[in-house]
Amino acid sequence: MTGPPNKRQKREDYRRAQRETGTSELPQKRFYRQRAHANPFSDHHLVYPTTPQDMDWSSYFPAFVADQQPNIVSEPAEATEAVSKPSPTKLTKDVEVVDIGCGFGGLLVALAPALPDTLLLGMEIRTQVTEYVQDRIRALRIQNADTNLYQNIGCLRANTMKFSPNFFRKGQLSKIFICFPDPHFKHRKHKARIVSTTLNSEYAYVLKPGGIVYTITDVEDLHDWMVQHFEAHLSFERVPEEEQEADTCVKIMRTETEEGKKVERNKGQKFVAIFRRLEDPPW
Amino acid sequence: MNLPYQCLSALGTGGLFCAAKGTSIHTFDLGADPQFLSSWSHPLRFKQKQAENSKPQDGEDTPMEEAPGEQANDQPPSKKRKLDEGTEYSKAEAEVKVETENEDDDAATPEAPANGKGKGKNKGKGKDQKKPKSEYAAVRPEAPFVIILTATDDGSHVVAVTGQDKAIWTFEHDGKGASKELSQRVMPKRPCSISITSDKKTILCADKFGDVYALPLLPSSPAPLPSSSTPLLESPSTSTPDANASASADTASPAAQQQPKVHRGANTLTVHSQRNLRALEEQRKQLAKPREAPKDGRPTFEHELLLGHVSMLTAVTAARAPASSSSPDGSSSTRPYIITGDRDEHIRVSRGMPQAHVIETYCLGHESFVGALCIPGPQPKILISGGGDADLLVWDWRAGTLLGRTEILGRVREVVQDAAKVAVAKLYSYEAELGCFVVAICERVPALFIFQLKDNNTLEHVQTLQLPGNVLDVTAVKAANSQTPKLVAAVDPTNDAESNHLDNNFQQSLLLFELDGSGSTWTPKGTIQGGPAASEDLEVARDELDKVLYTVEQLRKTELRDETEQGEPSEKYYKKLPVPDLD
Repeated sequence: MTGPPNKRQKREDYRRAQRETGTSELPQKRFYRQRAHANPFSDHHLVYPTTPQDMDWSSYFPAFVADQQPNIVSEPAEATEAVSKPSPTKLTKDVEVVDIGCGFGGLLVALAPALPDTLLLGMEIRTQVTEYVQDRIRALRIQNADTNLYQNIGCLRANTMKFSPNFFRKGQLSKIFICFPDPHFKHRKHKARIVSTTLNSEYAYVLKPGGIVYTITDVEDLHDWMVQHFEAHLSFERVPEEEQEADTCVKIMRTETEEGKKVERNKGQKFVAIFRRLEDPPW
Repeated sequence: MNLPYQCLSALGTGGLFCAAKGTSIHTFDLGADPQFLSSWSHPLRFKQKQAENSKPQDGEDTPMEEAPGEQANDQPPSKKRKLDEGTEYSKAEAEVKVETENEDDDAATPEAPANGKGKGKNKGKGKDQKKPKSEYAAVRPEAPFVIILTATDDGSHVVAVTGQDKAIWTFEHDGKGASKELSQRVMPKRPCSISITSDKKTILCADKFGDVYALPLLPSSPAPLPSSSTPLLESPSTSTPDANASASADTASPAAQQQPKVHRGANTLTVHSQRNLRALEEQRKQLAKPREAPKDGRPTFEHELLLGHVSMLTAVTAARAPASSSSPDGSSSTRPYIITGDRDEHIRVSRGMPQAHVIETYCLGHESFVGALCIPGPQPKILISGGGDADLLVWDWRAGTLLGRTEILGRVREVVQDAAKVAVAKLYSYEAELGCFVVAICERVPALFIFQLKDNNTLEHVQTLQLPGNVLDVTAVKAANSQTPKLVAAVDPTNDAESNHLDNNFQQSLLLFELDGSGSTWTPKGTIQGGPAASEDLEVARDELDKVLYTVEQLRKTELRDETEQGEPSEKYYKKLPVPDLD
């Protein structure tokens, strides 16, 4: 008999082993399953920086940590610096691509070699799943130690619907992926959808002009919803179909997300739409 | 029983001010001898009598309170709802919903899961909390207290919000104490904060759902038009969204929305497990049945969704800053902005209409909820914010940079020795001869904290004005021919230890202060009396009153951990929620 406590124990043991032995073996999903829905309005128990400047990315992208040379320029400013918080370790570059609701991380892993010079971040609200992706990235990095692959991807737990401006400065991102989001079919739950006109303003805020939002879903209703809401938002325009199909990221998104593969297995449909961030009009 | 005054607003510069007490608004003249002028009372449709009549059977159909956005009737019967534990409980809950409308749509609201009480966790706790509440509320509905009161700078228009019925009331004021009720507009969600733009044309209304709506101060046409610029988030997906686009205002015709909706939600390609397939089948049967069009509960008056947070909004303020580009039509060289504060520590700076979809920046630095925002009139570049943090924060809001902090918790401790935390409920600024001052009101603290905003943008503490009761609101009133303001404070005098004579105490609710010789500190000048005594036979229990008057501290997040987040969801949990949301 495997009761729940037993199961939990097994999970914990497995994951500790994953982390501590530094194994190159990929983690198994069954030790990380979590219900596919999370309430975005709930407080949860989230960790997030107060401002983007406070975010310490070094543990997510250790290969990109800037050399900690004593900065000569900032030396005289030490006195004022002491009053404020110690600034976190800097990276040589900023995160530029975000997969919102990255799930088990299939897209990240597929994009990592395609965008080798860009930092990609998966953001996922479910703790278990986030840990899976983190363990997966750890294992992949060990497996590919010789090529330095997968150093450019990371994953953290976050509720992007509330806290994206805590992680990213205005105009920091060039791509946002929203893949197979929770459809929230119920009318009264539509406010919980990850795409809405009001929330699109936040995506516009963190995206630089010319940046792209990628969306894919197997639910036609939701696809229509996302298209309508992005098209209605004055900061976005839909990217024409040919251009969309020429984008390699679209190809990867169609085939490499975990959910995409599942839809494939079940012979489902996939609806893709991508949108470009426009320049803000003068004000 | 009598009530304290809970909201104040000065009316222009004629020495008049209005004060809300319970469900009424009284107007006073602060001449040499303070004088009561007039009074308005909420048409108390919710008097106990009526409530009792409508409660027993037909609670669901009471015409007086149609829960907007609710569509309880057309839910498939098989739907399992997590929180419904036993039928009698859900019935009780339904009744409460109708009567108090305190609880909006459960899991979908930002406030429902406040303090980590999200769906599916802390079940025991959730129930414990809810049950006494529902029982209590079933006894008597919450009275429609005035929760927000504000006026245009010139005092020509007064806007009030009554909480229980979510109504925004607009009055025209003749400058002599006579007010005319112009409109009553019931919002889809309870307004948390409102602000009138400086052109006096628009009311910005921020609600518990995190949305900000723009309403014309004066409703444009008497005939209610179905506005197409209605909340997208609640509109059926067949309608054309155009939230921020005023240009496409006429694209979504009502006819289009009436068209039979082609259901393209879940299908056999998206749903696979046996259970879900069964649910889908059930749902299709439901859809096949002819049914009434769901009431969408959208307002029929002109309104526009400007922006939204995925959080509960706590404050909204209209601001202006110099234009960053020369305007093509050569109009005014400043631009409007909207600043919103939420429970998740954010202060967002958006452009004003018609570009409210553009977020300019955030003022990030709060580590607890934002409770109040204030832009001092003489220094429009500065924003002062307070909330659950120990400090007041001073910002250059247009740049999103923090200019400084001033501790307030320490000041509170001088009054309430064992205060472990502070909840700044209101920030109010006034101008006196010596400069610009900011008054902070902290919840359940019997004192006003007065700071001067110095030229170097720091707040310097000037005075802590201890009062005989928790402060609820404050306003500075300027007489017509005087540059020196007087200060009026509304206090809740019940925390008096020997409060055997409550009714007498409530006579002491409006306090008057005048500047002393120093020009910056205030001395008490007694109370302002003369309002109609207990005009309504409104019986409000003390704990119920507290619930209406003290709402800020509860915004604080608790450190409760969520089991289902950390560990694996329990088996029980799975059993309770087998079916994904199908509609």
